[in-house]
Amino acid sequence: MDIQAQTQQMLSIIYQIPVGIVQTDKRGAVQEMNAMAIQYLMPHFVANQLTGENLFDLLSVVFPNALEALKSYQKPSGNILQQERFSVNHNSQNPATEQHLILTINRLDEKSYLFILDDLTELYKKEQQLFAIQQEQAVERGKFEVISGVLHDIGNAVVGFGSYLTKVKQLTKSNDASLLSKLAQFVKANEAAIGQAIGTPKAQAMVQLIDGLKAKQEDHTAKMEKAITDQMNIVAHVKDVLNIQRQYIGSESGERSLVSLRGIINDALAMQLATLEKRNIEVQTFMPDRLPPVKGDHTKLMQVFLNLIKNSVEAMDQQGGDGHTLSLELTKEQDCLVARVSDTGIGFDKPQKQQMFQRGFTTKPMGSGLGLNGCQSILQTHNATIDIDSPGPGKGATVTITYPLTEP
Amino acid sequence: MHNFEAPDLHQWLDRQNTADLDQLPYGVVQMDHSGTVLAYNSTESSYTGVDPQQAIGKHFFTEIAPCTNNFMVAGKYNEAALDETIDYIFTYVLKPTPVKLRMLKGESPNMYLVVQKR
Repeated sequence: MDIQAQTQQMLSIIYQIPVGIVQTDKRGAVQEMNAMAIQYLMPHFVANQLTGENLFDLLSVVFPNALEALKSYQKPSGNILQQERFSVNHNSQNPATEQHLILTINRLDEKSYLFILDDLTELYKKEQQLFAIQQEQAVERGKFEVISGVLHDIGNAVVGFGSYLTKVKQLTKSNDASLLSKLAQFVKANEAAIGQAIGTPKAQAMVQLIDGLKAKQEDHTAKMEKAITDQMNIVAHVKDVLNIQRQYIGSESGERSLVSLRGIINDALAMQLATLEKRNIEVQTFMPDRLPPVKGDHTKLMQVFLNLIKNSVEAMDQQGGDGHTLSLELTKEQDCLVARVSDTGIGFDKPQKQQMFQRGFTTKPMGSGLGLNGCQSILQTHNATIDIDSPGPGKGATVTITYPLTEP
Repeated sequence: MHNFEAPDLHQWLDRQNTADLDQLPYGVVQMDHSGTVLAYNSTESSYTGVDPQQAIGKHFFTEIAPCTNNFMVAGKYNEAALDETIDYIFTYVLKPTPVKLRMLKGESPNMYLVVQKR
């Protein structure tokens, strides 16, 4: 290839290059211009009633600062402007047609300037979208903070309310019924003496009155105790709901350390022991003690197993009857620890399974329905999976958690 | 011969063969509706420095004349029917040449960009 052909090829590359290139004389008259420059600039020449022969004429309208920089540039050659951003719109009525360009100006020699232009409109739009998303996320975070604060305050209030109820319950025990009962015994023992003083019929009436008062007082106390117990159950339920909600809103990046799943399951079981004993539920565990530890958030994993045990207890309550069994199993299978929580509760059929991991799903009249979905969210952040199976309605259910030993 | 301004230029161009087009004193780019070049006459070639054999079969707005790939020219051809004349600038390699562009599109499977020096 001879020099001329090479030059021709080079020129056609410059012509096609996807960056606008314009060379002007010292007064701005366009000497050379490639295809991209025409594509970018022509609409603006036309919009400003310019012929396209002089670039300074256009710059004075769309980017006057660049023209000033050029005119005040003293050196015979060098860089005047380096990738300066400016926006232009050939149709000021329509913001959608706004273009965002960057311009570099070099003085080639005393007689000519080189202008390099690039269109950043797409990039600019993406930047704006990203900015909008970030703002949205900031607002969401703000909302989360408010919600989390409110939950915290409600939580504290509920705890206060709970301890107040406990105090009231204790107070009802030291009531007047026992005093009245002593009084009744005293009056009865001294009925003859009192009868001599105020007459036998009056003394008998007095004994009856005191007995009546005592019975009434005892009845009141029993009713009050029941009301308080009911209230305490409601408070406990509110606490549960708050705890589950908190795990969504609270810190997303929980502490990750080496934890023993076996220890966590045992702790969760211990916390529910009273509930299990009260219902005569037999607990079977199969958890070898030489299982490797896993990396995880102790508190959140504890919540998972507490949730699962509670779910099982509720499923067995719903099934009714006696002789229920809760079994907990933890084994090492290949690169995973597999935990299984099985119950003899109401179980479920296949169509129901589809919905079980959906947020808000519940079979319980009082349930918040966060259980399984909440467990799944927590386990997902640990790269662990959860599945639930049942041989059918009335035949119990088994939840299987597969926890990887090596993090990917 | 029809001149650049002839009202029925589109229909007339459709009846010309390649040799006829090369005789015209103005540039003619014949394209199908997708913008692929079917004919590129010698006057057009003399304006731009693009060899007709290089142009035929390529996409005009992106491969041959990226300078027209904006709403003023390429964007116009999205319309179903078009007969519009505008002032524009072409380059012979890199030398700017002021031109008049007549953009033609209609029922015919061919559409045209007709170019005259100003």
